[in-house]
Amino acid sequence: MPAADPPRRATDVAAAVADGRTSARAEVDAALARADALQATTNAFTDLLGERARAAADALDARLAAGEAAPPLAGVPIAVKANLAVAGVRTSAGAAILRDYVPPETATVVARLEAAGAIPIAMANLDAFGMGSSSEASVHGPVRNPVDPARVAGGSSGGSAAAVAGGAVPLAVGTDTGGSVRQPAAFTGVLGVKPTYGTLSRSGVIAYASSLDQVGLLAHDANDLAVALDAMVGRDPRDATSLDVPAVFARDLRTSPAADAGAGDAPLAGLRVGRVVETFGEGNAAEVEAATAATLARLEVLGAEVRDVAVPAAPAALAAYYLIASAEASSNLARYDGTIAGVRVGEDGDGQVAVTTASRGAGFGREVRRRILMGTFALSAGHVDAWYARALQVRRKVSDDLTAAFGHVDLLATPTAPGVAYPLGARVDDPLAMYLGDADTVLANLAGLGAISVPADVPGGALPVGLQLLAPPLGDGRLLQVAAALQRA
Amino acid sequence: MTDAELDHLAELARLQLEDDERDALRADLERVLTHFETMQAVDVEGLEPMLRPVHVDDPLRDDVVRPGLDPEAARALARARDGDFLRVPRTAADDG
Repeated sequence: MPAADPPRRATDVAAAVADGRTSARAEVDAALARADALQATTNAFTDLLGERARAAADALDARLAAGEAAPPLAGVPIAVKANLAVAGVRTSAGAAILRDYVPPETATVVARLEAAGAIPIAMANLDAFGMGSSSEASVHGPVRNPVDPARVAGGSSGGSAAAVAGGAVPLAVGTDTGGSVRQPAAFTGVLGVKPTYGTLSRSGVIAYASSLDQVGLLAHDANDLAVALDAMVGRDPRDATSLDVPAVFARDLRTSPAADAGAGDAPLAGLRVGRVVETFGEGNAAEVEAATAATLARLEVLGAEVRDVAVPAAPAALAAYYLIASAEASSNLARYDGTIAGVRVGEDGDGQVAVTTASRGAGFGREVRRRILMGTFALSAGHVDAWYARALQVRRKVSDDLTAAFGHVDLLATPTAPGVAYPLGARVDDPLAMYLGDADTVLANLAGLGAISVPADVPGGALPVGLQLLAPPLGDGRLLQVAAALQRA
Repeated sequence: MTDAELDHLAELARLQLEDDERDALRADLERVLTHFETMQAVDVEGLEPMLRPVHVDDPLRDDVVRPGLDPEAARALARARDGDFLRVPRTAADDG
């Protein structure tokens, strides 16, 4: 762990760069040194981007020296999950088949963060293609949790979470298909937000399951998330599913009652929070029950009303999620045939089928193989109605149930995960146990809702626990306001 | 799941399996799918399948020329090339 106090807030770094107390170059150098130290204990990164980051910092410093106005994230070092393309930088997705892939273009969301002054200093380690919940299924080796290096950091954005929790950077980009931003945030004790489907462009994101994939962010501070979202939102012609979401997250947070509430105030007065009864009780670790109950009680102290609500189809969400995600993965990953990028095994004369089959066999790891086969099964003749089509109907039921619940409350609350970070290796050979840990997070992806994991109230020295809050479509600003209120209280 | 069924899936997925992983893969799939049968208990009568969470009205862009990826940058991603062409393995049999 780095000796110097790492910056906890991106906006503090940007303000210091803007008024000349520090330079982008100094911040980037310091972040690279912290990342280098963190790498030794956590393996959070696939690559450090020293040369590229220093050049970007110097260029920004030169523009500021010439009188240009400082952008909102001026000189803020960030980590980017290695399944978001950065031009000229290895973007392996944690997969053997993309081990040497250097994309020619940058993902829209990363380019927009760079335009706002942020500087990627590292690519963050992950489960290959985002398929995993522990960041152990990576060709670069497992990520360790900075809170306890004997334990997993969660996944699949485990490297992004470790980068923030371990103090290398104040802000990291991840992706979230079934909880891959929120669950590692919970396991490492930071904020993790996955906004409403369509809020952030997926152009340049290496696809896993396109009807579920969404970009997300990890940070310590709710306002950092708001400022970064403002930089990233807006319709992108390169992603047909992207929405024209206005960049008002920071403004709305600033003008919300949560912004300047003092002790004894009730900044959440009038907010109705629904405790999803199916996600509490049996199946959860005792420390998860205790911590989430304590945080829900704190929401009440802050003025919110917490009441029980039912989402009857919630227990079936996990199965529907895994069948749909695997089916989409089997289709999305069909592009890896040894022709463009990736691993190519065999000779031209062997024929296209033989080369494709051998290349994919050599380049896909165990978990990716499981999901491709499961997805192929769910889509195959004779099974498609009973499995894939039914999963899509269950998805509809889950979405309808959530919509009905929002008829009574403003936000929904669940644990982020039923347990805390587990020892490395504990679930590697038990995929079902690994999958079951996603039971609460997949709700948001199936329905396309925005959700956030906030650190729940644990006793000192205990492992982190996350409380998940879900919002109705495009209600993401409210999630940040509640996170800010909890953070300040 | 029989050996033949696993082979069929692997063939559909164009995925070469190793002999020493087959038993574990089959067991994993059986166990996971057995658990996922919980989904069969949900009453889905009359529900429209939900393919995606947002409705996309007009995914077509205007039919005008705009800059795209530099052709050489695209070609540089090829595993094998022949001048300006990508080399791919033989796709047809000699007699086809």
